[in-house]
Amino acid sequence: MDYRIENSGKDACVVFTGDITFSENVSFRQLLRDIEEIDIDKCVFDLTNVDMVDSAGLGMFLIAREQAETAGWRISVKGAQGHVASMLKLTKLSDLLDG
Amino acid sequence: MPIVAETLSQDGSGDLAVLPEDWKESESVTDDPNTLDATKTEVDGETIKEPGTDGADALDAAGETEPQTREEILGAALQRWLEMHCVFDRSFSTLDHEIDIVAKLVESSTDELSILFHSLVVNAQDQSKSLDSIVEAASVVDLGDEKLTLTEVIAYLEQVFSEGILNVLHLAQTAMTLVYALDDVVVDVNEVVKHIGEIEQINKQTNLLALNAKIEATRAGEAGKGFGVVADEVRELSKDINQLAGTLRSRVDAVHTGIEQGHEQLQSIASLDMSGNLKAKNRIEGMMTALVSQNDAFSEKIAFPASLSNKLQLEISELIQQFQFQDKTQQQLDGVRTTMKVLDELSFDLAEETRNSAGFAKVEDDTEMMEVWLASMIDRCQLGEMRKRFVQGMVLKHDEEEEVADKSSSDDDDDIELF
Repeated sequence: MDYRIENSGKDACVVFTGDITFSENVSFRQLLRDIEEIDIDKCVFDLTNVDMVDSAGLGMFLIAREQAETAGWRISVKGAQGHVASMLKLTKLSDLLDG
Repeated sequence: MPIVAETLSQDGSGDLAVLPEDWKESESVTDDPNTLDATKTEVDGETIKEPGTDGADALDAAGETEPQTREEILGAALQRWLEMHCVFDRSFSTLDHEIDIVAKLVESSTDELSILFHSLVVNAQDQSKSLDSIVEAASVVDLGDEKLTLTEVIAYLEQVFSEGILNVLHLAQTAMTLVYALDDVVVDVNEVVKHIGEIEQINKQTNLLALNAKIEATRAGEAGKGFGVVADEVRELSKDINQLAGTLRSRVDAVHTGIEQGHEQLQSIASLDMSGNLKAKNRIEGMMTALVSQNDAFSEKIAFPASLSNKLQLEISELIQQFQFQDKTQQQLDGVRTTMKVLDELSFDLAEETRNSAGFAKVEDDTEMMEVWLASMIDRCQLGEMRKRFVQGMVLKHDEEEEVADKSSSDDDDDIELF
């Protein structure tokens, strides 16, 4: 998994590429640390280029939500397609992240 | 211009009309069987018909001799009229009885039909209830203490499945949190290992210093003897520290190994490919949707005969209300009976007037002409039971009654008793 943070004022967009699975947990934690260092109100996870996400990946999204709640910013996802979109629909993760 | 002789005066008094002087009787009675009043009269050489007398065939059937005078002809006609009145009187009485029978038949048949249709209504109601219960049973799952519709069942399954998925998510989140926590622990453990290395390095230098001190103490001789003892103690202390550091290193290595194993276990917990769940959810949703669709189609098909049953029930109820025709029929039959009674009374009065005016005796016994008329009426009666009652009602002579009764029995096979 690779990621790229596009910061625009108080909004940030993280563009993911590749699969988001357990083996990416170190990279994902680094992402959370990178986001922690910038002052934002909202962060959008762009999953357009993500082909696969497993339960560990979804768990990492939820950890990101916890961090967002603690730091006071909001998180959402966009661009999910195919299998990723189905997984988000199955788990209602969009509702969880928005809630 | 021909002159027509009249049988009765216009005022109906029964007096004979005055005939012209040149009137003369014909020599014979007409042979025309279709003409009841066919006595021929010849005036001024022209033959005319005289209305108001009975048929020549009837006269022939009675076997009477030809009347020779007009008075005799009119007298015979009046006699026929009185006989006909007797037939009328008996006929009215018999027909009155028939009207009673018809009225009772209509009433009893109407009652029977009403009972049958009420039974039909009850059956239609039962059928409707049965169909309604089928529809309800098909769309409701009975759990004993509660009943759920299929929609509620599906919603419940959806909720349970979603909760299961949510639990998996929370489990994954917890596992990843632990992973991150263990990662932090690994960092700390690595720090501990690093510090142990530093302790070992310090202890190694301490041991080396103690060794140097021992050497210098030995060179100093007696003066350095005490210092040599201290150097030995320091070396012993360094050995203990080195041993303790080794123990710590082995312990920390064990912790590190345990963390790595826990990390792997958490990976197996957190890394769940949920494609199977996704497929299962889609399949369950498809099955439930199909189940609801089939149930809806089934309910719709059942609802149609149920509506027909309700419609049938309403129509039969309306039909029962239509049975009021029996009252109307009874009223019409009463009207017919009343009219017949009036005709009977008028006929009686006229017969009495005729008998009193012309001096005829009351007709006591059946004449041959009356029997012919009655037989003619009975013969034309198509229904066997009715014909028997006619025979009994008309009170024919014994032998002829038997004859007619026999004829009635022989004709029964041709009766039309059923509608």
